[in-house]
Amino acid sequence: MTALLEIKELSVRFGATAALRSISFNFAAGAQLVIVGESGSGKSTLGLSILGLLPRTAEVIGKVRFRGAELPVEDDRAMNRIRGDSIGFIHQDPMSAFSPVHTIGTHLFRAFRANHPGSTRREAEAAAIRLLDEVQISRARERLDHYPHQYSGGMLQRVMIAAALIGNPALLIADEPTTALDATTQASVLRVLANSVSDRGMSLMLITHDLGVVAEVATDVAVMYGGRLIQYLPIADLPAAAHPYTQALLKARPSFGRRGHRLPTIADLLPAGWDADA
Amino acid sequence: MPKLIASRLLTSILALLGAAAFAFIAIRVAPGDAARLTLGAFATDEAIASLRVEMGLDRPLPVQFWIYLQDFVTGDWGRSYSLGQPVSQLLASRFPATLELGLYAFAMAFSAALAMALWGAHRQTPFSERLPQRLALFALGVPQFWFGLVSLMIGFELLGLFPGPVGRLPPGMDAPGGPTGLFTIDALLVGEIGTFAAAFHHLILPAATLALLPFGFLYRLLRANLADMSDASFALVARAHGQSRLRVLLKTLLPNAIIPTLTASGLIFGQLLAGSVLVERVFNWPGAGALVTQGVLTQDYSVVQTFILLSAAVYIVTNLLVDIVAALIDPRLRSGGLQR
Amino acid sequence: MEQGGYRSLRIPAVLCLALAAVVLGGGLFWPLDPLAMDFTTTLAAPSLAHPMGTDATGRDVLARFLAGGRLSLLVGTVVMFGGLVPGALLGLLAARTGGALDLILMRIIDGIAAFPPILLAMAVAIGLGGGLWTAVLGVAISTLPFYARLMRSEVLRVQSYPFVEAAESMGASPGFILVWHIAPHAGSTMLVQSASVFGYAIITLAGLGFVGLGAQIPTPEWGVMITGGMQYALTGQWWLTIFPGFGILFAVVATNLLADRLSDVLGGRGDA
Repeated sequence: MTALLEIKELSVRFGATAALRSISFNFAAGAQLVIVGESGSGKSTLGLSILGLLPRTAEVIGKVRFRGAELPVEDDRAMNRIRGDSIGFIHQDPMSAFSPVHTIGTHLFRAFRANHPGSTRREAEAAAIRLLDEVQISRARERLDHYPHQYSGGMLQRVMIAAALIGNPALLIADEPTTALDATTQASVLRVLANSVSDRGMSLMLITHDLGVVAEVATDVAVMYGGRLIQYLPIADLPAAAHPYTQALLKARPSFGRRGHRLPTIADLLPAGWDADA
Repeated sequence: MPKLIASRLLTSILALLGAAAFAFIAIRVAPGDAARLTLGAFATDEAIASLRVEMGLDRPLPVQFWIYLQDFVTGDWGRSYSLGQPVSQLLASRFPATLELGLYAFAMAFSAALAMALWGAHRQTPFSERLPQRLALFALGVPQFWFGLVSLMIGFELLGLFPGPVGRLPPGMDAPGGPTGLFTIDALLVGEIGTFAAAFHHLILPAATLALLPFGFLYRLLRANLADMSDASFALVARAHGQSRLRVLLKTLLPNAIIPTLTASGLIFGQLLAGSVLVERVFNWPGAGALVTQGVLTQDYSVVQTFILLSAAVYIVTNLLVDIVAALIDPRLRSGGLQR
Repeated sequence: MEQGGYRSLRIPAVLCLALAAVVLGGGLFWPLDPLAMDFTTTLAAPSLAHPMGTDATGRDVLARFLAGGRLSLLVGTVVMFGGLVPGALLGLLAARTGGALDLILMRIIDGIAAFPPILLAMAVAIGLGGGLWTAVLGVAISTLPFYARLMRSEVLRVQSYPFVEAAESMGASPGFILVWHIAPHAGSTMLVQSASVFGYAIITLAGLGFVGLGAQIPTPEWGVMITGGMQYALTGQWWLTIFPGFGILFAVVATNLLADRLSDVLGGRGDA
């Protein structure tokens, strides 16, 4: 298998704070990678640095290669073509990911047109309706004219999946796509996501702090802690080969089987004040 | 939504009553004699005594306030003793000049503020951030009447690029006979290009002077709105869809940033009205503001009182209209209140 | 961050100190009488004897400039605190009592706020018969809505903090909460925000002086000086208008800049 995405010694700093510390891994086409870690472990920064959408204050060192070409591409226009066209993105908070004064249709049309220059409104509308059907939004044509506040969180997250799929990207980066949703909605959104990804043979990079998600979709698991990649391995090897931190993370997962127990806590692995140094 | 409008209507009426009460107390109840304020320092005692009766100054205060309100609402604003005309007629005849000046000033202020805020938000260089900020600091800190004088000293006296303080048209040029009273528009309507050019030329300096305060204010408002939102997730998501930075700024962020500035319309009208009082005097602009200054200087206060209370009424009514318009165009309010 | 924040205060602080030093200390080094006329040197251009020239009655413009500056600083300070104290009390009263009194007080404030500030000050000055101090009173009254609304929202904000609710539920008296919780939080915000009133007062009073409602003719006040120089502005005697105008511009920009930076650094929350 050829590597779809190669990340080599990628470090990102925000002023004195290091968000990513020399991350390296290769990501094969068709793989479904789940990146787990606690909040603040640098997971989201990783996704945004692949897309080249980190804030200007970020200092980036290291290399990201997508299909052999280095990212972010110097030329803005070429980079904009990669975003959405080759790499899709799903944001963690559906409630704030839509402009409140624009209709859902407008959001989808704009996403479509960014990837299909010269397309007509009719084509954009057809694509939008097809994708809303795919993510199980009923009465799609009518709902194109609705505003984000008229949608529920779960529906918005499914619309965001549709918008990310509209350019038919090879890789989909989903940054905590279910965190902001309640438990029952989480499952249905995740199912929609997993189905769409497998139907299209897409690669998926799913960022989460919820290990329950791992079992549902992953072919590979990466564990991050304190801006470092602690472990990267196929899902089959997870229970046996796990790093002590990964095992601790697995144990800290609540489950219906063991009521009445206190969840174990995870000891801090890092020396005090790690984020203040270079 | 009818409920929303009803409650806004009620608060607006209360605010109007409050404003009228304030003006009434400041001018009528204060130690100065309202009849003498109206008739001027040289009026005879008999004239003052008869006006006191006419104005109802011999009656109890609540009755006086009621009469005052009635007169204001029905447009019975008294007479100017020095000009010998009813205040309503005077203001109506002077209003088009002030309106035209205000419209140009607003257009200048808004377009400059918008351009500066967008430039800063798009380029994000130290220069593109600082230059507009300093311009706004200057615009908010410079006394408008002084800036007007300096612009005349440089633009007219030193460089000869602009006309002197002669009002709306060069001496000897006739007003275009159009329906609106706005010379630039009337001139175009009747096809007098020369008159249009002259009227426009005479507008530039006074309108730019009057635009200073609203420019500084609007720029800061737009910049703050854009800055609040440039971190918004929807901007990031739109970029992740492959839309360019400029496109996201203009199509997604800008509409979100402009809608809240609507709510400042009342304030901006107030700034323009108050500014016209100072600026029109500098440029000898024959508008309502100059009438007010003249009234103050000749101690002929009937026009002044009316103008002041009218400006408050304009502010309140504008705010009411803006709230209604905002309810109509904001999708969250239009579809029956916030659902979440 | 903190360090960088306070560093941003350096420039406006230096400008304000320079303003105060020139205006307050200038009188010591420039002893000419701002009111003394001298009909042998009328409308003289700036020279060594009269660095800012003389006016139509031969008065020294520099001496008048310095005296006008002293007056501006005085007026700025008087309006700042003259509006702050009653405005804050109104806001506090409205927020602490709530209910009908809150509603009535805030509608009165709405009514006052409906007037463009300078026109409101004009109304007060006219009603009370004109002159410098009635104009100052008018300007101070026009700041009431700003102070009262700010204070009210600050008090409501502090009251909703969990630690204040906790103190109340444990039986702390209203006086205790006022002194130990509200005063420290709201007080600092009010002081920071009042800095912006200083420049506003100077520029508004100059505007009133320009239409003849503020200081009266011989008084060395910057707005009045510009008015007096207006008829000479287009005949070459630029110094009569330029210097006092720069005085206002400098004073207002310096204090506004200080106010902006202070509220950035100390996190005062102006609700515009």
